Amino acid sequence: MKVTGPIPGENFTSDTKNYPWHRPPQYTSLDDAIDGAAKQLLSEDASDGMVILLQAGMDIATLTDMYVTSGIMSGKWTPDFAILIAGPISHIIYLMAKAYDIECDLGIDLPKESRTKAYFDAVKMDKKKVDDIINVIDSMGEELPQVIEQKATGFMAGMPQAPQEQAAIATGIMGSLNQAGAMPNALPTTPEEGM
Amino acid sequence: MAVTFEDAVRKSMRAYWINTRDYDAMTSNKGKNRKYTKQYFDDIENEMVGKKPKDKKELEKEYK
Repeated sequence: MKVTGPIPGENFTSDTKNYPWHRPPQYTSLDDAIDGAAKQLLSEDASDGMVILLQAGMDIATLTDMYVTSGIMSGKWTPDFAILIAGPISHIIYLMAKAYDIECDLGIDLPKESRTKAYFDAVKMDKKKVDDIINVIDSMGEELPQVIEQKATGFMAGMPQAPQEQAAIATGIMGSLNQAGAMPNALPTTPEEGM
Repeated sequence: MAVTFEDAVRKSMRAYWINTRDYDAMTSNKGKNRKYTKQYFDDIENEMVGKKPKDKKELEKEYK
């Protein structure tokens, strides 16, 4: 039998200190890490690539994720530290996009701001205007349904038909059953029938 | 529900951009003042593109 996989416990004997993420991180202070990241992001090579990706439409959250992950791989910071500096790194990338007049999307859904008192005071309707509108509607009287019918479009277009007319033009299952006499006409055609 | 590393990065970004006290508490430097705060980057942005429109808190103060 040929054994091709690792032996259980082999990881404890293998030399893993050569991996950058297994060594102590380069940065442990937030300010030092942001300073180092800013210097690298604003260098000629890195900034060219970043701007090209922003111009291509990539959102800032994805770019931030790529950058902090590459920092973990190169041993600059630990994964939890990378999550902490994600915000400031995204702000640096946002400012780079602003500097080049590139329209960018943060890639995160910011919460909607709640309405303030100033907003509600501004939309508070003047009582006099409301009374004027009501008076106009009352003065139209019988003309109002005709005006609505003339102006109504789409789903609301057309006044509702009388029950007799609806039964006469019934289609589908109800129409065929009604014609065959299988179902009594549920809609009374005269007031006496309805009583 | 499993949270991926990318989800955690986006969540941290959300906390940073909406200026939560949780983010400030997470990143406090044992009482020392941090240099690179959101206000620092906002000031740089104001120098670059001009002053940003006032936010809700500033407008509320003026309204009163």
